[in-house]
Amino acid sequence: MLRKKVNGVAKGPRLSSALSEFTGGAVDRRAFLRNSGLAIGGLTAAATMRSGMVRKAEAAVPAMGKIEIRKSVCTHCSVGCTVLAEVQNGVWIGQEPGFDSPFNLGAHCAKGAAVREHAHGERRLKYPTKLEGGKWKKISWGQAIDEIGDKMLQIRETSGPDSVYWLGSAKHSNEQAYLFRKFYAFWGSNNGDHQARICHSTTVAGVANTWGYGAMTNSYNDIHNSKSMILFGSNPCEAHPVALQHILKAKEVNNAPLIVCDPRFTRTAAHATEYVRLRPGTDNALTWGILWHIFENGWEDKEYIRQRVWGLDHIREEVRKWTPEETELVTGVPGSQVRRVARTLVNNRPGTLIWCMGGTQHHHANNQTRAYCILQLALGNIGRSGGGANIFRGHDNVQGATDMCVLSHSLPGYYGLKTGSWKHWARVWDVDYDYILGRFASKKLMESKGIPVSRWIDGVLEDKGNIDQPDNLRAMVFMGHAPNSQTRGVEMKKAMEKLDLLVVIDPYPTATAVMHDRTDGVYLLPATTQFETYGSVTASNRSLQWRDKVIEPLFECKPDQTIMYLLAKKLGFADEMFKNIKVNGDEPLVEDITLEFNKGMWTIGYTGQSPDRLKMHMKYQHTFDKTTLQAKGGPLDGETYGLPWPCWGTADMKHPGTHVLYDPTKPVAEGGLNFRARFGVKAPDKWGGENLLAEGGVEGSSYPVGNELKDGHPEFTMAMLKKLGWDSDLTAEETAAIEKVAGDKTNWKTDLSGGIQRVAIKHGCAPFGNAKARTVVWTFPDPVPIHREPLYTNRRDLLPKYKTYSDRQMYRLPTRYASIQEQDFSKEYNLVLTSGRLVEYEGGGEEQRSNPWLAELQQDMFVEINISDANNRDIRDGSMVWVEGPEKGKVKVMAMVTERVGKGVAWMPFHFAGRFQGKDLRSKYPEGADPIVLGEASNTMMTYGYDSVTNMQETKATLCKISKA
Amino acid sequence: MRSKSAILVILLSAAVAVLSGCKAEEQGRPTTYEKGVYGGKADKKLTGEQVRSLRHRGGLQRQ
Amino acid sequence: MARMKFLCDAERCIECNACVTACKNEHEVPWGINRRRVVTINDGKPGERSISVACMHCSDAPCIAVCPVDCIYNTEEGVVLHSKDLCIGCGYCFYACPFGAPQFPAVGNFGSRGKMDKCTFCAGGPDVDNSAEEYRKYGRNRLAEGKLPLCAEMCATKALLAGDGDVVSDIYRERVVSRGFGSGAWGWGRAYPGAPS
Repeated sequence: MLRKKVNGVAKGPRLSSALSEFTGGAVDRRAFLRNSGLAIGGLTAAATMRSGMVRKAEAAVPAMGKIEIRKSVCTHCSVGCTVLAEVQNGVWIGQEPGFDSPFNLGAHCAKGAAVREHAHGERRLKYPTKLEGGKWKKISWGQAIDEIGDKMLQIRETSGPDSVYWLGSAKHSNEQAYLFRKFYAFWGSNNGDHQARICHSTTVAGVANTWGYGAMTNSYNDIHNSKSMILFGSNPCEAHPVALQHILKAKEVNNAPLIVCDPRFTRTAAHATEYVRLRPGTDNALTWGILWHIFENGWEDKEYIRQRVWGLDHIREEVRKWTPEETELVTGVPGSQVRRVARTLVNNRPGTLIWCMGGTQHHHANNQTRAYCILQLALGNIGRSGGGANIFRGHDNVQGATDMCVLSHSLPGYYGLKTGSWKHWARVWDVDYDYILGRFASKKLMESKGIPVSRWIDGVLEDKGNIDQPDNLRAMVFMGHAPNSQTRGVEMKKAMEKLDLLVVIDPYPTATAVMHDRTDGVYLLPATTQFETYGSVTASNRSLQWRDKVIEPLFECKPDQTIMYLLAKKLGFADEMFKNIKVNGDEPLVEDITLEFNKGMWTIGYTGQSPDRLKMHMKYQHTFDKTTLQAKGGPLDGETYGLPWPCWGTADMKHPGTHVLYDPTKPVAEGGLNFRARFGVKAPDKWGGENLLAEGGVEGSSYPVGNELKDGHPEFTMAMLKKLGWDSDLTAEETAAIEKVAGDKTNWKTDLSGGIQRVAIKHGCAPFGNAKARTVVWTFPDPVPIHREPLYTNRRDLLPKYKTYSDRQMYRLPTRYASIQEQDFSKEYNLVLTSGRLVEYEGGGEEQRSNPWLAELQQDMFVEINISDANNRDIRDGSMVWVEGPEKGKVKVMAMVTERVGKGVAWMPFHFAGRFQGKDLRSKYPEGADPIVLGEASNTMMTYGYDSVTNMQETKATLCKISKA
Repeated sequence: MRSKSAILVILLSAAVAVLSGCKAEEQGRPTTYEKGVYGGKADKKLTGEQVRSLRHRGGLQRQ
Repeated sequence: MARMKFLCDAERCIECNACVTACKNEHEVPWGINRRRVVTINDGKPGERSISVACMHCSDAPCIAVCPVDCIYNTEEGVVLHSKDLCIGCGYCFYACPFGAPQFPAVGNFGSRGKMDKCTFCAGGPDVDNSAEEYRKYGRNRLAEGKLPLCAEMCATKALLAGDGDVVSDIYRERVVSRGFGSGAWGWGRAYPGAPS
């Protein structure tokens, strides 16, 4: 091997520039180096060296120490790109491509290629700070925790636990997310949530209610097998750039058509074979328009439907109305194009359907997500390699944080909030159910959905008498959540000012620190990034990856798990909450947290992914196939990369994980599956009362290979095992454990031994039963998905026919629909407005706008406006304009005159903050923590509108007016 | 006269001393310019091992 | 050993700017200096295509021809490098370069004020390989570590290829064949009139 001459000095300038900014700050450079130097054990390092990489000469690396490679995972989107960090003496000095990762094969986007800047951290929060008399004042961690805790306990005393809101994050690791969910359970409230609410909540609800699980069915890699791809409201070129590597492979190798349906000619559309420009908010209508041709011509997969799909006749009735003329009237898409798209999808199967925020952020989006599913079911594309509903999630761990149910309506693993669910988790937590019950204001509040993040401002501002809890929200905790991702910024400012206490726990101050005019009662606590701690993260395809710690926490930052422990201790429930989790000093042991959720999350198979197994997967990344994700040989032979859930049973059972959901061509023990029997065995009489279980008796189609029941069947319980005589396969310990939970009533979800799952799988059966997908969700406001016009619509001509819902009470709050839509704003607000992402930024954007390598590439907030609309308003490219919404919020931004948006439509990115309705807020940031780039937040002027099932905000279709500034 | 020649000798030796300081090596830069010829520090050719490694990594871009 | 080359496949380039930030990251390139950038034509219209551009490391480089102090040279591997010790920052190379590769920093992260800076194909400069001096003036020398330019190695879609010209063209040829349509390489249509692209 050749040796490379590197001496540490060569890295000098980098290192010094990295550190030069904070000498005299919280940590001086020498102390920082010393501390980090101490922390280097002998981690993974040399193991990742391969041939083809010239080894660095040990002899030539004298003074400064060896360069180690540590493996982490990018903290931006959900693709899960491996980050190889070069670390020398505790300092992160370089990034290398992770060629071994089956997800990214070395690739990154602008954000991933710039993550090392986290270790510079020049503009991060460096120490705890509080706002006192309008000035930021440095305080100690002890003082911060004490003051925050005292205030919270006082609020709890006077208004009850539901008056504190716990806003968590899709940027938590799985362990942090789980701990956070557990935290507000022990605090005694369901008022907690995270970004999934405003990103894919409508997907999760819609998809889970169709076939069982609300997640991406296949994987980015499986797209290699697709014969066609259709994208709705998804722009992966900017939101998931590395996904394009897989998409383009299908396009180039399979010659697969790439159809992009979007109101905006996105960068992805530029690479499409067919671009469909639809009117914002009409995805449901377009989907039915496509399905109309399929039904009309009998192109649906009839045998697949007979065996595996229920209720399609009810859908046919609705779809019959969506003739090419009606579809064109509503969506604006020419009839001939809709027909061509339908034929392309039919002729190129299996095809994958991908959707993102363009489909999910509408007040009727739960209809749209179900319509996409139904289109795929009609084509027979679900449960097939190359097919699938490939829902690209947004943040790096939004899938994991959703699975941990950092939500206001469920417990980890989607157990819900019923008494039985709480009892299950009390058993896992090893505390009395009554203890948990006693933490809540009442059993009723314990079992009723909390306020979602999209509505927290209403929880503060709404008249107390209209809220289904004792008092308004009085304290907000933002733990890794930017406020500018939520709509109605003007009202949010008011809400922030009305609160008693506002706490930000984040590596960056975020707009929460500056957008209000408070002078007291705001605390900023510096949290670490994921590169300064370790743990697991779930990619969009349900695979878990284990991150190493790259560097020690910078400045006075602490990892989230430590901060939660400190707060729990102060609030008086640390002993119970950390009963089975070892705490070193103040830091809970991450592996113990993984093992604890492994013990409880049977519903979705988060039970087999032990820390040891996950670490092995990271170590042997190179042994996995880049398309099937299956290890070929090596110590993990046959396992799927990252053990995508469901990874059934205990870790000892060695289930390989499930690459493609509901794929019956494999035995369940090898990752095969069928649709989940989640909705009973028989449809309600009102909907025909038919059988809901799979039928047809075809192995590898209506039931998975090796299923001994050879047909549809309900979910497994102990009673069912006994009836089948399979209970004799249980071990004595398993039987005892099952007996202890609920005897014969113990089911595959509550059996803590995993015995029921093990035995069901041994006999080739999916523990959750084998049913048909249901196309009619009788429990939803619209059982059959239908089109509804946005709350703020300019198509008044479509209104009586496609009007919205009536006003109603949801999630403890009055929720308005008809009372808004009935008013006509379209005369004055005559442009349709939608929003989206930029590749350089993500979410609230604070993190990336503080990174000079990224910030340099996008320095101005802008609005895209069509050239005709611009000329009609005498607006020139690059000039400043006001964009005002019908609720009177307005933003001053730069005009980008372009044909990217159609006539009558405008578009804004949503990652900016730090300017508010024309006012620059830079001076309000704590010193040295202001992002490089500031700009107006589009959501300052975005309007009211919430999904009828999940309260997702309606940011993808509203109205605005644009005028010269 | 003696002082004149002494001055001359001193001047000459000073000139020699000064001029000898104009050698390229001592300046750390080239002092002569030949049109069309790079006169800076020479770069090193890559070794066979380095080239093999580069070709291998080139192949990793397939996909 | 062939010449080191970049090739950008415009069928694949999605303007994600990974190449740009990878370069910034690897060499700590200061704000305002772009050794590499992504250029988009027909922005927002059908026919929109992007291509990542840096120094193309020409075989017969115009910058070498015009440099009044002859500080630019071609390495054995075909990489165009220059000596910041000799450069006088006149900007003549900037006139000559068809790709706008030469950059002129305002402040001295890369050598002294005003000297030309450009993509080095991650091959450092004429100072001792991987020395502090080389790093300070030119950035990291990946070639000496047996690694290719980071911009290409990290490209999101493998649109930007780098390496030995023959390796790069092999990969590219395979792609064109399997695609069965046109060529995404920039300039293909001009070089082969009548070809799509």
